[in-house]
Amino acid sequence: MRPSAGIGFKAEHCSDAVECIASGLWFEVHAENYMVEGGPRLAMLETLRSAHPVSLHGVGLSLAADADPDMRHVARLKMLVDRFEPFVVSEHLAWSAWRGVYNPGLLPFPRTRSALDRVVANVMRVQEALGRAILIENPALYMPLDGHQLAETEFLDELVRQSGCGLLIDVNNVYVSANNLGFSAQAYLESIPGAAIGEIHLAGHAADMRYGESLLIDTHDAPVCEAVWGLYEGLIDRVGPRPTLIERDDNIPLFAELRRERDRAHAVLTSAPSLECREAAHV
Amino acid sequence: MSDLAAFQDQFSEALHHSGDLTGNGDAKTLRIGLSVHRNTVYKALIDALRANYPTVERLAGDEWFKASAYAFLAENHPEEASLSAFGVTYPDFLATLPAAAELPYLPGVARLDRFWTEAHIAADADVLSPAALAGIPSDSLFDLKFRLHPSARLRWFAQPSPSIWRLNRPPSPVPAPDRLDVDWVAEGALVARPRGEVVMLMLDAASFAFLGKCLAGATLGQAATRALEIDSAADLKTRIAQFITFGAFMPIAVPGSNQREDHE
Repeated sequence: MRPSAGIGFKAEHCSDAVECIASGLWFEVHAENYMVEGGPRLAMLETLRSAHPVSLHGVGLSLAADADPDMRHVARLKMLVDRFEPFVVSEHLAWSAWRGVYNPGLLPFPRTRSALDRVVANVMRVQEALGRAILIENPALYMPLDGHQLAETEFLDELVRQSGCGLLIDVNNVYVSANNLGFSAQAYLESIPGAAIGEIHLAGHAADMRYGESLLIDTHDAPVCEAVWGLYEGLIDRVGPRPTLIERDDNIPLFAELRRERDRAHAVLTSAPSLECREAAHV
Repeated sequence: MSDLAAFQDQFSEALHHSGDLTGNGDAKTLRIGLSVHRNTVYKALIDALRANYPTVERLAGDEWFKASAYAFLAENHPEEASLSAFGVTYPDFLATLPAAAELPYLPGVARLDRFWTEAHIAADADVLSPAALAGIPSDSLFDLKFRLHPSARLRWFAQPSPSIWRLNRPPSPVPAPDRLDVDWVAEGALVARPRGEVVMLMLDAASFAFLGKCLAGATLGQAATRALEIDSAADLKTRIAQFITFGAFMPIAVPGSNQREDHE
């Protein structure tokens, strides 16, 4: 069966993950964790990959930096792609590394046309080196910036058109950004080109300790909230099934709990009519 | 310089020092948003150091460790996105801290945490097996060069840091009252990952000298001579068998056969 709903892989769940039998189950790993020369970590990924499809998710390529991608980093990513044959490879619409310093975060930038040119060029460079298209993930935003020339959905749409990349839509990021910046998450999701979506992320968030619900943080440390499930169901209803990941990076629960969330996403995907069915029904 | 580059210069400066982003919006909301990003970045950096120096954190306590980590980060940033190997100079940094003078074994413990990390991510490589020596005539043995496994790290410690590290390294540290229950003597250690797991071998002065000679490219005979100079009663045959069982060595390069040529 094609990948349906998956779980973010955690080393402490390795044997549960490898032994889990569920139709359409897949796992996602962070590419940078496996950029090592040898050892148990890579052996573990081999074992996981022999049991399930794997998605490779990068966080450090800094594609929105006004600089060429670090080609040594790209080469290490390519080694992982060639060795583990992930069914999808993704990165972020953000910058992190800048002038030789790597900042482990996903940083914002004013979405100007020249910034778009830079991101398009960087994405194309990476895709050429990897020999395949990648997916770009929408960011979680915490403050409005002046100087945008393009709305985020416009920017992503242009990025897809000009570079040939796909999109990884993180519904929790949309919800968090919409809350923090005061726009409609629903309207945002409705303007994403459905055909470009190659993967969906679902995750939890937390209210900032000082500012409360007016500032939500993309913490990935909690179950997916009902509002995000609702937005997700609406998105799938519009665009059809897409591989969907349950993302949890902190406060890791038992594997069974992640499995339950995953199964809920799988149920949404398998009950959604495919686009082909829907088009046939209109005839 | 492009506008994007200028923005990223300003943002980076504000991220790491307490400056503000100016000219990009409302000052207060910018400051709040920047603090979210700063918290995320620094949490990830501290977590990376925690992951790589768990025994130091265990011994020094969370507060002290975090303070040392922030001081380290003020002068050291990762240069690459893979944080698995981040913090290579933290053991040296610890040794310069006045507070570390009260915990003289702590820089050595940090060094061993570092060796563990390096061994853990080192390239896979074959190990010299006992059977490999079986066919070699005993009068040729002393001319052989025993090369240390590429994952191996070797060090002599003026403090009993290896014993302390072994007692306190997560995931199974001893209870707090027992954490320094060691003989206060200098010790050597060999850390390696010859097969799946990282392992440590404690060494006395003679064993350390023997392995040090091997690391430096000496023959078995030269290494043995040095060990016996330090301890004329050392039972080398037993020790060498122990090193081989531990997985300390790479397969022997037999002169004249299957020589791998270096390619530039």
